[in-house]
Amino acid sequence: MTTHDELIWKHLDGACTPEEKERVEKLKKEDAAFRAALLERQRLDQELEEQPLEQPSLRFAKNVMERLPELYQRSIEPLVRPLWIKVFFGSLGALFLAYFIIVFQSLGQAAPQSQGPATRWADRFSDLFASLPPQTLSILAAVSLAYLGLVFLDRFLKRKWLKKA
Amino acid sequence: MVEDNIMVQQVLKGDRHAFQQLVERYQNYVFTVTSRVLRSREEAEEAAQDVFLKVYKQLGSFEQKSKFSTWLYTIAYRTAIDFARRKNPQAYSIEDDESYLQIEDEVRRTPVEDMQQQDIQEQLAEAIRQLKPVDASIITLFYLKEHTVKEVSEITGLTVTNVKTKLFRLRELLREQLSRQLQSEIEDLL
Repeated sequence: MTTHDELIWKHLDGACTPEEKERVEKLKKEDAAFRAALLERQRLDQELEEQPLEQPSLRFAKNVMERLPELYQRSIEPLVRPLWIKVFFGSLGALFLAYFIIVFQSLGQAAPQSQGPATRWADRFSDLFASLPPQTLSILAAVSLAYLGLVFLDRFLKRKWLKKA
Repeated sequence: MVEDNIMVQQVLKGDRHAFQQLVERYQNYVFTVTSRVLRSREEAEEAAQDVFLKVYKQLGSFEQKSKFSTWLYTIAYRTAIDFARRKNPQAYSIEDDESYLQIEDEVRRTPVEDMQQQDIQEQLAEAIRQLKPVDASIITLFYLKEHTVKEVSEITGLTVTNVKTKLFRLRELLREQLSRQLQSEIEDLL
């Protein structure tokens, strides 16, 4: 090994300081032995860089996958966020409750009685329902049914997919 | 191509297909590291499989502070060294600073002339395989995907200075071994 060996490798790794770079350039011009040494190392460096990657067997990835333990749980984002499902069912429940109030109120109207605030509110609600065109109620019912259907389909497919995976 | 870190997240969510993609992306690199350290192809393949199993099991603890590939190579390096150690515990002294000279006597005795018919790339690969496991890993990792000295130091746990010194000595050792072939290649080029 000559004193220049280290400098040559630094030069090939692109790690020379400006002073060292100058020295290399000077030596390249003036020293034939340096040029030969540089050329030889340059060739080795290039051969090392061009070393082809070794390839495992064709089944390698499959073999790895077959040996994998079940560590991470499959998780899928639901189609509809749970909060929205709660809001939907809450609204549906409120509507049913209101409907039953109206029904009870209409049954109670047969007997004369003093009108309290609760009854007045029920009357207003009943009027609101009565003022709605019949198509609106049908559309609301259809949308609700479709929504319910989609939620159940999502849950069913998710369970089936997880079982398969 | 999907970034490694995104695929890691997908694996953590239970997507095994994403892990298969990671295996396919890195299998040649990992196998190159293990096969340069372990001389038998079967052992190298077994070690490479172990690397990916460890990666899968430890993926939850990967903090993504470093590149996924650096973390993967760290596991590949340690696994390969462990395999080599188990195979021949006396022959490999990992902490030995003079490991640049730890080329086996058998190889020293083998004349380079014996390999003259081989392609220089094959000879180089063979010469690297004859090095001590740590040395073979350092030279392989440095030239694999153009790792920097700092990255090699991170992967191997050696200091930057130590890696630099080893790299210098190893390359000089390889040059001496392949001097004749390199000279004839240079003459052909001139």
